Amino acid sequence: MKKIGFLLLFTCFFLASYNLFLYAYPLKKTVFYTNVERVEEYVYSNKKYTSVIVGSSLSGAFEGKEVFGKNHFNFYLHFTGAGTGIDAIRRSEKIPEKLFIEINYIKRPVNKVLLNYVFDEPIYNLRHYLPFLQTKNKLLPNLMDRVKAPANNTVNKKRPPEKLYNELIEIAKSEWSSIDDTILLKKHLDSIKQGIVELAARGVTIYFYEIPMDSSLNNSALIVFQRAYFTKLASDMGYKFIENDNSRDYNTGDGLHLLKEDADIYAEYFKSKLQEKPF
Amino acid sequence: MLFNSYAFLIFFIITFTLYYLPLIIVKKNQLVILLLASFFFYSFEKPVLLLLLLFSVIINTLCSYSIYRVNQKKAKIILTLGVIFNLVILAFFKYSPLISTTLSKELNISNDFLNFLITVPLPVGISFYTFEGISLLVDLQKGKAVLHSKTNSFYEHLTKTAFFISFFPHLIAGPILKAKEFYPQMGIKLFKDIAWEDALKKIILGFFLKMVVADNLKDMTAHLVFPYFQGLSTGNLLLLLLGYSMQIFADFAGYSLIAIGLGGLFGYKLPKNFNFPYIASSFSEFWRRWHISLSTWLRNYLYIPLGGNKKGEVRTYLNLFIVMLLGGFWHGAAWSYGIWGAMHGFFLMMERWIFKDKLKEEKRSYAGMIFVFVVVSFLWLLFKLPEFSHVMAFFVSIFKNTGITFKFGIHELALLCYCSFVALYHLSYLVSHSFTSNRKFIKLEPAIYGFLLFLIFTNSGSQGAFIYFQF
Repeated sequence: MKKIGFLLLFTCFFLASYNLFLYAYPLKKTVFYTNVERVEEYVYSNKKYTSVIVGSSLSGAFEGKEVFGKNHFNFYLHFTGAGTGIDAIRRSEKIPEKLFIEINYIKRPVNKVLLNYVFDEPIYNLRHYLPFLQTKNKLLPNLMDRVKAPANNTVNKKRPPEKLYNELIEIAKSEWSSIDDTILLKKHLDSIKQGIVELAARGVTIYFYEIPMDSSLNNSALIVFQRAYFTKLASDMGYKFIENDNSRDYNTGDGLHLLKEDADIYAEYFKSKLQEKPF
Repeated sequence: MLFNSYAFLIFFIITFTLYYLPLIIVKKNQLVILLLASFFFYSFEKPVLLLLLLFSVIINTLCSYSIYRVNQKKAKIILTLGVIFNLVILAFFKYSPLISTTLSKELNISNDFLNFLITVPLPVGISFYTFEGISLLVDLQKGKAVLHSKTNSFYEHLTKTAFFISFFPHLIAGPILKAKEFYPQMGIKLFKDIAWEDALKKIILGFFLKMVVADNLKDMTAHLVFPYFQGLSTGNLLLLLLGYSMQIFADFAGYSLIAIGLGGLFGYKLPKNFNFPYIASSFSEFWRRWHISLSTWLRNYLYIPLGGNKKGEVRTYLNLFIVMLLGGFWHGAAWSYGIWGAMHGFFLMMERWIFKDKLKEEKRSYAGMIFVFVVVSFLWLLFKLPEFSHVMAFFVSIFKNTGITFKFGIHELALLCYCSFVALYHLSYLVSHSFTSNRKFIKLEPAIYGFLLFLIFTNSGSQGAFIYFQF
């Protein structure tokens, strides 16, 4: 029993020291490796963001780019869509002035497991006082960030070998070429619409946008359906839809994610659109 | 219910408190408490699955009770029926989707019955509890002392058998219990008799392996997916393979340690399931160290009944191969698991043929250790990649992608870091067995385990189910 007492004492000592350290020197991360880390950064940081992007990993193309001004948070989340980000913002009660909504993967269901993990009581409140419980404060990844420079993994510099690229394009085409259940999709989009309308009613300016994909996917059934839905919503409700850049074909690493050079070009295009009237 | 969930924490605290209440002990209701808790634990996600578990418990109770009461000749018949029942249940729920998919795909046979079979759900833990049912019947037929008590009423036997099969720490992913080792342990357990230190050390180490090592590695090895891995360099592919090899060990050994530790807190000794398997310098040694409760089950209830090594050299090789092939299919209803088992069987046969009696020597060969680890790790690919063609594509990529630049970024560094914990764990075994005195290490234990507990709080990966749940 004496040994167990020492064991618990050591644990408490380590935890208390780390907690104090996190209070004194809150970790400033530039790259978030998981969705949980990104949601936690938004929820628990003391910053109040004026503009926020919500979307899938496709919006990782904007990571580190000065498009939206300084007080901006890129709330893109892997393997899910804008719906998850919108719900997270609503539940966090940290409402931005401008919300940019990526529509490419808005078809994906809201990741409730992720949101419940972050927001469920009593741990949600406890994490405010015990920052060591926050995933973004994980000890080892933060130590490693100091050894090796963190990198944005959603943007590749060059295309994979031709054969693999073609395989990936085929996978993407099969995903986008048809709609499994139009009624179900519409129902899902309607539920996201509710969240958007609620945020807009709280004074948030809503912008929709599309990240360019491989040109062979630009007019596929699914994206056309979503585009039509949100164009109509924007015109009905007075939201803004940033029109696509149809002046060129963008290069991607897998049919979906922009390559670094093309991400830079698109960011410049986006910035110019934001500076145009009526934005 | 996952061990690494808040729901389990609450469940455990309630069960533990009730279990050691003086009133429960005096009234001899401890088994009933654990039994009810185990049923709740099992039915937490899908209550309907409890029906199958209860059905299995009742049939095994009836068979074992009858074996205990009738003469040898009748007992053999009941044993055969009982074993067939367990195997039919396993075959129906586990293998009918595979067989029906294969028939409809390869032979173009399609009808409503086959379509129905494809949709049969796989009840979690079925492979484990059917094997335990067989173990109970066989052990009992061999020696009736297994039941430990001569005055067993049917109700008492039902309670004990239900408890043996469904005791929650081992119910879903083992260790697979043997009736003759577990039944004699059933009795009154007192709070003061708990071996706290041993149990807590196992639980902490188990959670560390699962939550810190396996769950973090899981997010990294998620990139080991067809066709995406084809764009990675040879070095990165090998690194991912190393990561998966360490992940599967940490995941399963972690679960087993937690199960054994929890068993200890309730006064039950569950068998050791892992004994530093990656230091094995031969395949036979690997199987004496990896998933020990399964390999001993296969040895006792399959290899020896098949004749073991008593029926000549050729028959021994054949028996080894059959046992490993079936062991492969036990893991999963897919041809890739069969190939995995067959490959292990092949390597066991080959090493027995080449080294013969030298295998029994305790001498450790580092070349052998590396060879076994490399082969075992490559064979884990058959677990990770669901289709054999994807495994072949992985091998092709290893040879083809030598020209692609090896990327060593933050993710690769993290992967190596988490792998190093498993390496360190194995190294600690080698070191502690190389020196006669490890007093210093024992003195440091509270600090070391305290640090592991600290890392569980501050460095766990995203929550994930245990890999072996699917088996």
